[in-house]
Amino acid sequence: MADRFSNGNFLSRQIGKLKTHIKKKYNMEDRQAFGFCYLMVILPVITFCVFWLYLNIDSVFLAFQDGDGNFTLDNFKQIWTAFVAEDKYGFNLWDMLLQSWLFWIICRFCWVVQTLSTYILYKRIPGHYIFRTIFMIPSVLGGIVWTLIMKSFVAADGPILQWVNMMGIEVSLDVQMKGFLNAIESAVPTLLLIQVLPAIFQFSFVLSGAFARIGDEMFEVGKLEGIGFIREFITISIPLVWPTIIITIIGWFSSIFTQDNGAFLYTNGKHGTASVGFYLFYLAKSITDEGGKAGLYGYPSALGVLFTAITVPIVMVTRHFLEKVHADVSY
Amino acid sequence: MTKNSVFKTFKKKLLGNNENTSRHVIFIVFFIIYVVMCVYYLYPLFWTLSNSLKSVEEYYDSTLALPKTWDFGYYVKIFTTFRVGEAGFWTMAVNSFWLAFGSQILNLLASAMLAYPLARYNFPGKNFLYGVIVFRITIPIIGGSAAGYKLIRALNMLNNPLPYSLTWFMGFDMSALIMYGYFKGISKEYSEAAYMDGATRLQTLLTVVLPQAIPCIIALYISNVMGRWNQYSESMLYLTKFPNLAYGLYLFQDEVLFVEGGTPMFYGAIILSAIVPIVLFMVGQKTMLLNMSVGGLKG
Repeated sequence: MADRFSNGNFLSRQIGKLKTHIKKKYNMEDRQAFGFCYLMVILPVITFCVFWLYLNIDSVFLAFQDGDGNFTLDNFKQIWTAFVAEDKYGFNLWDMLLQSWLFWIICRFCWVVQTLSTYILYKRIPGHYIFRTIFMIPSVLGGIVWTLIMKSFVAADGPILQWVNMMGIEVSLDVQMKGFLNAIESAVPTLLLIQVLPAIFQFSFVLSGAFARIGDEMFEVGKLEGIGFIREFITISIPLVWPTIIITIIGWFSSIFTQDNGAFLYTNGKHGTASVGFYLFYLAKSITDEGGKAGLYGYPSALGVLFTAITVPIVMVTRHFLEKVHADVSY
Repeated sequence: MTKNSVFKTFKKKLLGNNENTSRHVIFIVFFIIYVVMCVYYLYPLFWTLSNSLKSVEEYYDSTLALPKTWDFGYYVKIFTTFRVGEAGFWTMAVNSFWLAFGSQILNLLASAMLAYPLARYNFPGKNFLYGVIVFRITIPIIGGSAAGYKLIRALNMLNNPLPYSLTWFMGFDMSALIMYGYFKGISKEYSEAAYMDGATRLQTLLTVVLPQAIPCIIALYISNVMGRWNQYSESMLYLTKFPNLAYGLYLFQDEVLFVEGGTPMFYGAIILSAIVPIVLFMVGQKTMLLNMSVGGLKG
């Protein structure tokens, strides 16, 4: 066996065999086409291997290493400490998980309205063009601009507090002095509200594109059957855009721990607003701030490994079941 | 058109021609909600714009009142006072430009190079590559940022934009999936005819297929650039010496009280940094609506 492998000709013999096999199976035309395809994909594949594949494999190794590169389970012990008490930055992981899930669950309820809303806009409610343009404002402006605007809006000198005072609604001195996001009693509900509200009626291009692909004849059949608007939406439109919805729903479960890092910009995780998404970004920023010291990589990587291990089976099972709900459609 | 006929047309549009009660009720309810939501979306923007036109004294007098005079003075000051380290407004704007527009050229090029062969050819490994795209989109790999920082640092890409730009040339993402669907939908007849006429595969791609895919590419480009324009994380983590406007705003928010112009000038900077994505959205809204859809994951 060792002789076989030590023989320098072994590899060239195997390559020769492979070449003969390919020549027999595929003609010249096919082989040229393959060459073209491989040339096209080679650069993205190399970049992917370096910046995604290697990076994520290294992340797993880092989770089990200390600052000197020795094997350790200390990073996972730190996670346990962060669950039952606090980490070195003063965050409790369990509280952050609850905050993430709360946000996630509220957003999922909103999605039902968002889908119906996108459908209604697609069905051309009067002013649909203006509405969908305006509803895209938070997405168009991007995280930072919309966040800074809303942050000022609910600040101590912002209009919301002034209106509240004008209406004679009593708020605590803490809120009066610091604004809604910086007072412990109001930070979480305010953050949830200003993050969730834009999502409810946000117009979805991808979903609308999928609705637009449904032929008019499908709706005509429904009309002849005498079905109402909601039944048309549920029994005709939803099944026909199901492949797009599957991607959306899988996207939800994929981002169950990472979706909400809005706390980073709004409150920097203070007053009980920290979530897992915030925490992961906060840890990444800490690495940058501290110049990438060797001992800083293990803990965030261990967290990543843990949350990935929890999320992957959830996503796989979800996808499996979703694909069984409606057969894949083409129209 | 008289007021009465305008109302009748509106009523007809809102309620439709046939007697579909559920549609009527839903449309009326949603129309009212939409109007309320429009106020919710527009008023903060208007409030920010209005306060950016006030003097500091006027701002602290009342943040609710409209500006007595429209003073664009702070907008001029933004160009000199809005600074982060050595980077002034224009430097940050240029950084925003190449970070958003440049990154998406590379990203979409990689996505197209990946999606085209997958959609139009059968070659060994095709299904595997498609599976990798779907895997990357659907399976969450969380917490790679630490390893990412380590890798970027090891490759000497930190604060080194040219080598760093390689990270954008990956393509295994939603853009590749959307392009895959689009390339698949383009009729093969033209490309086969071109190939029969002696065009090479690359010529066929560049002269026959790509021109037909331009609407999709433009839609993706505009959508991705809009997303990137106000992204702060890359500047914050890997390109700290090249702050873009988003990162500049993030850092500047703590300094506003100490610079001339204070909060009104800061609001002016917010408005200025929002102009590019708003213009892009206005220009590309229809193209995005018509050309962006995802079919499914099965390939």
